[in-house]
Amino acid sequence: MDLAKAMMISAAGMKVQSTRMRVIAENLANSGSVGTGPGVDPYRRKTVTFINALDSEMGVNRVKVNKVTFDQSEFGSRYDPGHPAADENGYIKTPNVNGLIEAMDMKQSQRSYEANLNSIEVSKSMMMRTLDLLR
Amino acid sequence: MNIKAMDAANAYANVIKNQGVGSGTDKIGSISGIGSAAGEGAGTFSDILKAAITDTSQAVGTSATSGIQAMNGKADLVDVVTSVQNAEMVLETVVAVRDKVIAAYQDIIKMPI
Repeated sequence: MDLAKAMMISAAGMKVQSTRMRVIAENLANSGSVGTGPGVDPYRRKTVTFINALDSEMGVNRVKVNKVTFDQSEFGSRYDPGHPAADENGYIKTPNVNGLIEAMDMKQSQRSYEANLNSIEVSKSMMMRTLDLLR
Repeated sequence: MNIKAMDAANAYANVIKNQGVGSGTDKIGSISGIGSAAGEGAGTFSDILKAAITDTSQAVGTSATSGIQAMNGKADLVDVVTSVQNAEMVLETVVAVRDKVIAAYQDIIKMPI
């Protein structure tokens, strides 16, 4: 039944958004994780990509997490000669996590989750209204 | 995890047909076009009821299992919600069809001869 499938598709959308939210939380939590010594890389920002894959059980395409990959952008640097991770010039590498970008990602993830929730709600109410015809 | 609402409608049409009350009901069944399950063979009312109850108990069982898994921290919240919702839908469908069938049965019983 298509309405049930629609609900499953929306549920898959909610699942991938929760994975995305997990990765955002990791990024935010590690925004201060620097390397343990000179030359050791600090935390590298992670990103999630999604893919539309066929679910053979349901016979529909559902969104899935494709890969959790690393953001290849440059690390930041900070002058802190007393730090154990400081190089010979007194600089330490800082993670390439930007709080503003993470905040925007988080907002987008939240909105997408809510959209999927609403879609489930509408599917359910359509089913219920149909069933009410019997009463 | 299919919700077999249309199957339930088919079952209802079959029930009406198998009651064999007269040609009138037969016509209603064929006109509405939902009584197309001729290939399945005529199931009795109790068979249909049994199948519907089995479906329901399976769905409810799945939702209970995923609820327990969630309590142990093993299941995704989304999975729990969808399976509970699925169980609810199946149960509602079965209950609605049952009410309708029983109402029809009582109407026939009360018919003055």
